[in-house]
Amino acid sequence: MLWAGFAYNVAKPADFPAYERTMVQVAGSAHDAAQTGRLTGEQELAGKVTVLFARTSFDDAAKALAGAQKKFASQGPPDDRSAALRDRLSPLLAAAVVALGDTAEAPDDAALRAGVQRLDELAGQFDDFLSAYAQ
Amino acid sequence: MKRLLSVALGILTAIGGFVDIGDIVANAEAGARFGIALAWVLLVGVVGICVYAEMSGRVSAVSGRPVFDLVRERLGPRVALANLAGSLLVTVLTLGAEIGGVGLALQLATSVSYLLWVPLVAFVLWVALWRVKFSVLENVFGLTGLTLVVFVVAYFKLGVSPGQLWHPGPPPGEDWGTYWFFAVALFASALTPYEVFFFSSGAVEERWSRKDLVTSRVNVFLGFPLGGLLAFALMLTSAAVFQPLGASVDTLSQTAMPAAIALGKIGLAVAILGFFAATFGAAMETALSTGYTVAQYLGWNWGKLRRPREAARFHTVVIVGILTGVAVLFTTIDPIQLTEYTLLFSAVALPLTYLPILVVANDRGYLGDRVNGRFANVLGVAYLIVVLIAAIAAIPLMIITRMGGG
Repeated sequence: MLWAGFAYNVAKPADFPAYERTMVQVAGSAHDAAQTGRLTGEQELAGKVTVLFARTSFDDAAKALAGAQKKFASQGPPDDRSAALRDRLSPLLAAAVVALGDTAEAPDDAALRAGVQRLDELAGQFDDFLSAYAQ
Repeated sequence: MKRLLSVALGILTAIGGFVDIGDIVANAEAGARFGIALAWVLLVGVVGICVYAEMSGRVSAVSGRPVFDLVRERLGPRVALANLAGSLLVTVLTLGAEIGGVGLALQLATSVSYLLWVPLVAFVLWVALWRVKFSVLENVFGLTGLTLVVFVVAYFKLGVSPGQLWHPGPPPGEDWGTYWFFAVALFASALTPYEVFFFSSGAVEERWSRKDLVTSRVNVFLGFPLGGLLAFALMLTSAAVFQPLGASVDTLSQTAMPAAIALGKIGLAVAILGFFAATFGAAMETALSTGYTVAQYLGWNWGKLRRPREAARFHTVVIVGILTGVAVLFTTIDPIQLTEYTLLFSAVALPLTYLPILVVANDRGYLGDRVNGRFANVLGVAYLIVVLIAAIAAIPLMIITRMGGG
């Protein structure tokens, strides 16, 4: 009985609250990745971290973002409200991937500064999303 | 200098217990998410491990035998087997995670993937345990691990007052379930079973006797609070940098970031050196504990005070432990996640470790007039109750909070 209950809980179709919870987790992970990328870029500009450390830190942030994207893609929206939620988060995620990649591979300080600025803006937008939907 | 080095065993044991790879990140994550609301758990953990490590050190110094050996003799092979099974699984998995942790520390310095470092780290670990004297290992890695004190310096340099980081209970956005999940994980990390087995076996390796009881106590009451202080510094610096951003921490690079922000490249380099020494020290501790517990249970020759050929089965178990750890890592499981799981399983195994120690420490047949006094017994029983509650709560909390994810 216990196993059957557990199996039902895992296999039952997602509803809006479950989808919303997943999207909040995705936004949380993406927010953390953007903040980590921003911090790393800032310290690189200030000459406080080595290039090798910065590369590892950007890689860690990129992995976290990839995990968030995987989670985002693993579940379809069960209704219109959920689809609206997805449509709000999707461009933010795509922008975060681009911004993090550009910042990590910035060829000079100006590009690095621009990347840091973009990641800061995106972290703010993820924050807004989380404030709106996280309980 | 000799006096300073005489506390190296306690420091190395405590560093393995409080700032191994799982604890480094768990303390930083707790700081980022809860500020210093969970600092009390570190304090409770430090007192608890001091109580039981003092008993273990006293048992070994007076009887000249390690605790696990006496548990088997005093409580019989069945109880000792339950103790062995519970602690061995946790210890071997932790050993794998520590080898991965050394790889992660090297990755921070070189940007080469930790998995490529794993075979080399495992080989160097094996050579060190095979060839290098116990006292050299504990002095080098115990004392180098102290470079993590850079996080204490970094905290003061960051200039954030503890009042800004403290909340009564979980802060907004977190719930009581995750709060208690982290509390149990941090508590279990302070009292991991291999700490007491390593400490008491190390006491035998160092040939402590009755006249070393003071040394044993200095090791316990200096080493473990120092380990707790380093763990607290990781929590504080992470809280100071990441909590205002609302960002959580789950990688070693994030954990090192506050040292870089506060102290620049020098701070970062010292932090990475500290991570390397602490994780390598913890890898040594867990590898040796694997050999100690199995050899002591089966009555084999053991230890590094004998030539390897005289304790061949002990060294074989150590090698098998290292290879098993490497095999676990090659499944590509994240070493940090691995220790987070083992911490929770460790919580479940804690009563099996600490009850027998309490029983042995009260046996006049082994300890004569050095059995536990009333104060040690009151604290011992109180902690046994806490350990039991943590053991019962660990798995339900893990499921309810989805491993602290909320």
